[in-house]
Amino acid sequence: MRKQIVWIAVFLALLLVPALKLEGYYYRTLSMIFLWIGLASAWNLTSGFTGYIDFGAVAYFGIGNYATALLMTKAGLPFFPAVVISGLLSGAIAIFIGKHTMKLRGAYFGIATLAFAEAVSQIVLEFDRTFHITLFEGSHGITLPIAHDETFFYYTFLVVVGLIVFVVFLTDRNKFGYALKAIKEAENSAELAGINTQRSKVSVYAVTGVMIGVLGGINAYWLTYISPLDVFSVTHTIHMIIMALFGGIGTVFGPVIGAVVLSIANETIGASLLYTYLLMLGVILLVVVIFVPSGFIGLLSFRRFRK
Amino acid sequence: MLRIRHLDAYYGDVQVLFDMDVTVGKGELVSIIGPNSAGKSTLLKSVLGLVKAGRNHDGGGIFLDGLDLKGMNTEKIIDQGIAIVPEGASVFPEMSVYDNLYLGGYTRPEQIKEMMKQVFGMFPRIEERLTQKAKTLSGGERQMLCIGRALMSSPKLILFDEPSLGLQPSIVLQIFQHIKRIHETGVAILLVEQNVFQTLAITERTYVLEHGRVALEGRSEDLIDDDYIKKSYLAI
Repeated sequence: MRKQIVWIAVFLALLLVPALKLEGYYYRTLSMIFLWIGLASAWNLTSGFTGYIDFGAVAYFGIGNYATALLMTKAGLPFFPAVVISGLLSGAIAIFIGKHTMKLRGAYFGIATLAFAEAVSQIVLEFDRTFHITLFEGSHGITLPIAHDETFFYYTFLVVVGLIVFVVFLTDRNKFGYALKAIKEAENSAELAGINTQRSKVSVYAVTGVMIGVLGGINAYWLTYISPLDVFSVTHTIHMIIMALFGGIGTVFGPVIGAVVLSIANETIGASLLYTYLLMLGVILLVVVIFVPSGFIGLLSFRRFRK
Repeated sequence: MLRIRHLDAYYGDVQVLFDMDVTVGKGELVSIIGPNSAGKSTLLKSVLGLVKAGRNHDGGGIFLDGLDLKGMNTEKIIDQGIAIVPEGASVFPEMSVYDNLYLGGYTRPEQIKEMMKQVFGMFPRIEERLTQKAKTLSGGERQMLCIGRALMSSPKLILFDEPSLGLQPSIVLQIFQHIKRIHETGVAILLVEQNVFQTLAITERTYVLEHGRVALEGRSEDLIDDDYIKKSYLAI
């Protein structure tokens, strides 16, 4: 319980940060950290809890980006309704994809999701040229209306990401979460315990799709310019995986810690010493995967256990 | 309670069960014995909807209290009041003993506390290990956990798939005693076993399966004196 109180206190303190009237750079950096906390946590909800490692999560990020951009620029919808519809669209697509891919196990699921993300990226990139219409604007990308001030995005990301982490927290403790963890441990035995494994997997995949889609929608309006090569980049998925692994895959707060540490490292070391940072990241990951597979959170539990 | 009538079962296109007739009455303890690949485990999988089952006769199929289980998903079948103790004491290894039991009561969450008390009454050692990861338990304790997990859903019928497999003789005796005790509480049991002597000693009726067919059936106390059983399964 004390741990939860600390996290609630951190959230409340973050709500008060804009009162400090900081420079725009700090809001942008914090918003970027929030975005990654949300993405890593949403990815972790499906892949960390069920063990189905999704290599195509960026598809929903890109879909969220493009859906919001199109709804705002072509349909003239305001930001919030556009983001909500984008999230629901991502979720609906995730249900369709999940129904077919989540029957696959192990590496086959990973490959299928990776192929799906690449396919969506190519569709967005080539659609206009193939059908001679102007919709996704190909590699030129889409420019969105000029956004509100930085504190608007700071609060939007903070509240949405707070909700995502809260959903992961609740899932970790409820009956549905037990079902997901049982699937990860032994899917056949989970079925014999009376769990509808396919429905559970598709449901959680859809929730992840909604979460990542909403984050994509906010990202589009925040950046005001999106292109397929940026928002569908596979490196986004890799970052989600690395952050969750670093902090502790399958835990509630592991991906939060992983996203904070690696986002700050990326912003500081990565900005000035890119290759050193990438090398360092590789070494850290090797060490984590080999010696602390349960991540930073696992390391803390181990230390507590030793005491 | 459980009526299997004129059942055929297939792995892909290969037929493994032929015109199978098996019945387990309410509160009855029935066993299925037979050599390897006779179709014993396949029969249990058919009941749970895990194997493609057909019926080669009108009115054939698998019925639980008159309800046709054909076409039902496994979790729906489990929800009708069937539980299984799977082969090889397969637990959720990284989860705690408590979590394993909780998952046993997944379909009956309102009864979890009450059922856990009953399980602890039967297996005090499991209660002592409640916070341990299931993978840290011994083979016998794991089997007790599997039986406890099956009891958590307060089932009408428990299917046991070779519960003595890989356990030392003293633990096997304990496991058979537990099965008998569970039966005495009124739960129907269908026990698939290779340990023929012990099985015939505790069960009421037995089916002998060979090559996917029922080769012999009868009261267990009669079969234990049957010349064919003595020669083929008891090596007497």
